[in-house]
Amino acid sequence: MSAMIQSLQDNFSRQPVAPGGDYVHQVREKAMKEFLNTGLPGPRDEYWKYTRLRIFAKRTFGLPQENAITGSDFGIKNLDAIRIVFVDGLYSPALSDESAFAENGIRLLADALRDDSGLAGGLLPQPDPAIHQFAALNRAFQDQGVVLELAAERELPRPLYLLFHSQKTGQDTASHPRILIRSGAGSKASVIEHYNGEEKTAGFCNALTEIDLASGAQLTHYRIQTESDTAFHVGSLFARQAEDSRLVSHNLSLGGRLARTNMQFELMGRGAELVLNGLYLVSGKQHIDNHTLVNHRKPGASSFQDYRGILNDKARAVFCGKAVVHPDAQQTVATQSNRNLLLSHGAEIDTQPVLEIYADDVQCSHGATVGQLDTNALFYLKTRGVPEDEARSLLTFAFAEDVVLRLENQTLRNAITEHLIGRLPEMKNTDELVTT
Amino acid sequence: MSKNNILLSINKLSVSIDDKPILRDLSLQVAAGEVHAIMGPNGSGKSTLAQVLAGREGYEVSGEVSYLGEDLLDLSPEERAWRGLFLAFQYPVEIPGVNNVYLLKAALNAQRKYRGEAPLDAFEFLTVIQEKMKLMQIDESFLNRSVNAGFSGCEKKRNEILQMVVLEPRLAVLDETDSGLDIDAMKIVANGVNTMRDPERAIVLVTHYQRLLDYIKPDKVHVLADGQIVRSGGPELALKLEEKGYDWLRQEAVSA
Amino acid sequence: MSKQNQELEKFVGGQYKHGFVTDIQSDTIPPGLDESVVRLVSKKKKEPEFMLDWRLQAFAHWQTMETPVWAHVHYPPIDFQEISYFSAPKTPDDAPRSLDEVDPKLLETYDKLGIPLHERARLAGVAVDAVFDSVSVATTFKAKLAESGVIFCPFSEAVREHPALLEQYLGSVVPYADNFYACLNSTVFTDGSFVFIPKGVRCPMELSTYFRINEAKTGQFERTLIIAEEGSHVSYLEGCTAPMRDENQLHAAVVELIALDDARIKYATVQNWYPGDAEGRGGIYNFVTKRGDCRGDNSHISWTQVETGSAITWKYPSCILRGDHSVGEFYSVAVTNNLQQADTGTKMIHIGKNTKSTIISKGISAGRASTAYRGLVKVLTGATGARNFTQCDSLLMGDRCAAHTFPYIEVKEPDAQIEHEATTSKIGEDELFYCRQRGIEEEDAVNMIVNGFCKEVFKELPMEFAVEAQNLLAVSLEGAVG
Repeated sequence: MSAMIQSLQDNFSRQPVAPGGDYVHQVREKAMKEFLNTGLPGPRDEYWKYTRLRIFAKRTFGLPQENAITGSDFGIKNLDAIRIVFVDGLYSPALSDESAFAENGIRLLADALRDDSGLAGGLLPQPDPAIHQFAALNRAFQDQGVVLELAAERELPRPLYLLFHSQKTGQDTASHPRILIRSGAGSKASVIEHYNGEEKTAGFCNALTEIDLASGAQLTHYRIQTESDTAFHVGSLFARQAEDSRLVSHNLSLGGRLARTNMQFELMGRGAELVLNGLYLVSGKQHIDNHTLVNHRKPGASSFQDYRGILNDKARAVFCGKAVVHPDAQQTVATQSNRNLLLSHGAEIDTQPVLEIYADDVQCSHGATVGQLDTNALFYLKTRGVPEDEARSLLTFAFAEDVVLRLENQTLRNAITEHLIGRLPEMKNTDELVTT
Repeated sequence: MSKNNILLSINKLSVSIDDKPILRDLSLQVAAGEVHAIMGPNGSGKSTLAQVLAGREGYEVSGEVSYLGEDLLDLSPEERAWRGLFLAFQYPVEIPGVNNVYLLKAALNAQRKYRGEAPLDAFEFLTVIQEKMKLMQIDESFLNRSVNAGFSGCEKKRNEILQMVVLEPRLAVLDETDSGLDIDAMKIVANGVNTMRDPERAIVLVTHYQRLLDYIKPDKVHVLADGQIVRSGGPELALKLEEKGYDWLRQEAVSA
Repeated sequence: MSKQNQELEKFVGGQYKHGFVTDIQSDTIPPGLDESVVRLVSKKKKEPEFMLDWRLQAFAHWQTMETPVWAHVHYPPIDFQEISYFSAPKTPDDAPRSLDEVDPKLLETYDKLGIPLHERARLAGVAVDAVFDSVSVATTFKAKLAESGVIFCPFSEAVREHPALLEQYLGSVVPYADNFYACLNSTVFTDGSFVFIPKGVRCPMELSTYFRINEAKTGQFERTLIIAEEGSHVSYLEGCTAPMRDENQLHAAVVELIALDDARIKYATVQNWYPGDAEGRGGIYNFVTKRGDCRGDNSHISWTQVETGSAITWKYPSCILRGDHSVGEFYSVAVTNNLQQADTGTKMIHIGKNTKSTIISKGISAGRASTAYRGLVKVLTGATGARNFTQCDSLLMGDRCAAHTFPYIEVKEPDAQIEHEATTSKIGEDELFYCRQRGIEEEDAVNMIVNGFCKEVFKELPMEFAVEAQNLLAVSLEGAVG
């Protein structure tokens, strides 16, 4: 047994009593068994073909502990939102807008489980633990997290901003935040999940999000991961969409030593629309792996996917995007695009855009590219007097910009732009060239 | 006009799509030798009429359409084509990988087969087509290109008319053939259509603007609005429409 | 006997159907595979020592392997001990004696394809060799080839006549341990083709298995090796455009191509093995390993395939782009109808500098069939200037068929440019209506559009092949629309 599993097992036996009593306790026990049955993905696991967990399997992670809040810089500045902050894996009332919870259908997970222990099983049918062992692991440790339940026709007045912040403390901890979002018919909301860590934090964050959209519901979901480049992050997201619902998922994977997201979407009704907008930026020795699966289960739904990646240094990125059109899901429109920019020797990209189609009246396409900056564009910029390095950064930024421009929230858009500028070395002098 | 001369007789044709009515009780008679122009604002149902005549599926259709004494609505699209009904598409379809020349030859020989004539061999066919291409001022390299793939809007329309002059239909329905044409192409297209005028043949021009009618003189002009023919007349009606716009008719209809 | 076993017997033991059980003749050995069988096969082929050693090594390795399950195909497990590993050539008793004994459906298809009468008998496996003048054709052929130093002979002959070449090249592209079926083939292959084009020679004619009629029934575990020395050119046509009568359920062939500096190999396949009937009964399992090694600088290997047959097709003709400036190409049309399944594609491994690969794949699924494209484009560190373009299109005909695309792109070289595009759609209603408005009947319109869809691949085939491939498509898709 790996050191990591050992430490998780140890955590499991020492974790605080389950909120919500016996039933939740049983769900946790069962989930832990399921996790242990599957274990960590091994080298023969097709689903983890390009991502090995060797270095993390050797590490140990402790239980979250209450630490003094040392910093003052928490998350995205000036964001007009309902804030809920978790520091080092634990809810921080001091940094959260508790007063806004009740009126907006927001509860902390522990409170929600006490009200209704049935929530322990999640909102959606449970994913196969043989593939989604990390979702099972999250279930086994459920305690910290947020439940948003929006009544029919309700509109969340401000975005819900969930910040999971890791401080540089003595110990590397494993946290398992759990976010459940249930949107009633015709409701409207925007939720921002932000996983952030101070430099050199090396914990393991195993987050899970479930989204259930009733007919006509609209949700804009942001997943922003800017953990330290020594952290280990796994994120699972499962969403189900009824007819005429619309889900926009922005997935920005920017941090982590090793970060993996598994996102799975079930389109269950006519007129359902899904937009997946993703960006990954890796440098140093980072390894970022994004897996998306879109299941078109009923006729007349659409999905549009655009993921872009920028790879620098010795970093590695993996993209596996799969769209499945199930039998009888006629009039499906599914498009997928994955573009990658390789900027240096030693960087590696593995991309796998997959279509599985069992219906005929469909319009499906995918495209994947791997390439460099356009030499014609570089030349053009140089003839206009832009120095080579700047020109490179500018074009790199432009490559990512389409994805960034799709972020509806302007404050967020600016923050991400700033992050990108900070990550592109020669970009610093060219701030004024970038319009946001 | 004797009844024998009537090529196409539309009687109370109603067409809807997903329960949304597009044509309502439309009636129209087209005799051999005539050129009819059907004009009307966008959304009046002009293109639907053309598509239904050619046998496009997906519409709910009621009423009667008789063509050369047969029930047209009973025939498949290809059976209509074999009987000499030709539709010049408003948006000609691109078929990647299929040569123009191949499509044309297959189309012509399918009609000949229906008429009990021997198919043309490659040489005979080329003789026919070269002459027609000269008429339409189309370069020969065009034959080996895929059907409409990568053509400009103008080339596509000329290709439609080339197909028409090769297939020599009895009834040609030209759906907005003038849209997207520059003035030179318009003259070439009009010239192609005019060579087709013949006492045995009828032509129905579906158009939004009067300008094509400067080059192809219609015998009759009909104005289609909200799925019905609201006014019929001679070429002067088209000129009046050009001058006063479609609103003029609407206002008249309201005041009447 | 359990129900599953009966199924198996039906699938694997084609011979049983024809009551061919105990009448073991000198050139047929009982079902089952062990070391003695391997020795026996080698002995019957009068092979030199090195060949037997190789087979035995392969067999030892094969026993440690498991059947692959990753392909997107479904079939009952195969019992490899139920197969007879030396049953070729077929005994005359086993074959139909005249065309009257041949499945009328098959004959109907030959008719549609315009296959000449005397050809039909050969394709249907009628045991009357004498009707053909093929032997003389082959002989004339051989003489002409020999003039230019080209060796083109049955594999078994090459093992005996050219052992040095075999020892040098056999298994150098597809090692016996490569995969389960390649390993099985290495253990028990019976025959196939061997081609050697010496330095600087342009092979004076297209080589084709067609001219080796006497070897036509070696299909089950066929092995082909083509070596093109520096600056040489060869074009090789494999297969046959009419459905072959064949009773072997399992086909596990291996093809190895080696191109040295400036050499060029063009390999075209039209595969139309028996696909099974409309209910999915019978049909060939075609599990083939084909790989080309662009070993030399500026070498060029091009695969073209038209796959319309077999119940299950599982093949990935690949190119290892080892030499600098080497070029790999893969052009494929895969058609499935009824209950056929195809999982096919390619691998392009970029190793040398400035290597280039092109993949054009057209999949057509009809009925309840499924077609999958599976492809790997891999750019290793140091393969600067690597370029790949991939276009994968799928056409669906009927609401119960399936089309899948599984591309894998792995890039470790920042200088590489990879472009992959794929589309899936049903046959266009607008295109169909347009053709029908011009008077073309629906089925003809479908054929016209499908052939247009496949044009980029067909143009890579030699002319006479291209025409037959088009007809073949029409036959395969009969009844797919309407």
